[in-house]
Amino acid sequence: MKILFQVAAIMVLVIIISCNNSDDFCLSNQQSVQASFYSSITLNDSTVSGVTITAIGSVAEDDTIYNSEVVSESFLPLSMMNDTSRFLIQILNQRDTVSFVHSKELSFISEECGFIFKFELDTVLHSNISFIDSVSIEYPSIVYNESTENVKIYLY
Amino acid sequence: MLRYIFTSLVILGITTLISAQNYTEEGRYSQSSQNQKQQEGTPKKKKEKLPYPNKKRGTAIGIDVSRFLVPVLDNDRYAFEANIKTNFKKRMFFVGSLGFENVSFDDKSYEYKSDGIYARVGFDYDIFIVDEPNNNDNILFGLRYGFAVQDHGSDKITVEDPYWGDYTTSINSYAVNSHWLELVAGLRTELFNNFFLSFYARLKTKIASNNAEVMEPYRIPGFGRGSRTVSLGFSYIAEYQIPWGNKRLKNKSQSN
Repeated sequence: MKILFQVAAIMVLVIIISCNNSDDFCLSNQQSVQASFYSSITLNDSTVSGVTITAIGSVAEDDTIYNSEVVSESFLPLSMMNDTSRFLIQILNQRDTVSFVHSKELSFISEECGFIFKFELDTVLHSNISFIDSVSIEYPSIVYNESTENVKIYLY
Repeated sequence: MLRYIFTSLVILGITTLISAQNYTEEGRYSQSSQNQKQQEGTPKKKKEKLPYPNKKRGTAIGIDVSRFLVPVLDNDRYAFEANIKTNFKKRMFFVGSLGFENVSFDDKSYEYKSDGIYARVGFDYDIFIVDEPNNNDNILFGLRYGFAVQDHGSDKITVEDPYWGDYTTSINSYAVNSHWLELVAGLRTELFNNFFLSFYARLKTKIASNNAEVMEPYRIPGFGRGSRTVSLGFSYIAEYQIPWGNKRLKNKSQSN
């Protein structure tokens, strides 16, 4: 019977279509602020060499995120334990600190990838002892799988 | 999932081949006789539209045997489904299903537990017209409305963080309701007297799900993966049909 073949063919087609659904690809569940360096004079983005950034109050044995590296944009992980994440930025022998005050909300990504926290930046505080002129929040939301510049750090 | 699909394909293929063989032989015979007639100069006979035959009517009660394979393919889940199908017109069936599906695992970055029940109601329409006495087989197309209610939660959620330390929390169990529609296509055959076996392919579309914002269900009972809006399912239903209305049908056909 021709109809039987047609029904079977439709069923097989539906199966093939459903098989094309790819499985989840999981990114890191840790969320980071994307902070870029800018010149306070030209207002252009700038690449800085000899940058060392450490997380203040980190529980990791090695709390260094960048170690004497050439950096134009940095990814600074936010704390899920506290509402403030503090970082020490060292350029050659000069030091400044940046503190992000944030709120968080638990968010479910998928069955395979589990949960993350969505962060919202409230305030950015900074010292201006050495090289930081000012800091501005460009995009306060830190969302999973979204690569957007959150903060601009203007350097003298 | 893939193994399940391949198993389905193999069984579907075998079923199709067996059925196809019977009818292909028949078709080949009629085609060759027609060719012979044409050669003899007989004008080609216009194909007559066959009336829907008097198939056995009744109410069938069955279980979806494919649900017993669920724990074999995925040991985090177990499920059961009972079905009822009854004629309400010559070639239309009212169909209902009732089932449950439980999920529990602790081998991911979070622990998860879900207990849920589901129901489906709808109808099937038989398009299989065959001029063969006592052939009660069906080729069915139909529509279903599905509803599931489940309690799900997580006793332990860990978000890893190498700099500030891992964060652990939990979500207390809470209820989620889901609604979906299904388009179904099925093959149903009478294996023994009043004992039928059906294979169904189901194309499901989620139309609503409440309380899923905090945590999407890992699986919606009767529907499939909670994160999907479109899902595909299969059923192998073994059912016993309690016949009714066949005597009247016989008398009617005899009087005609």
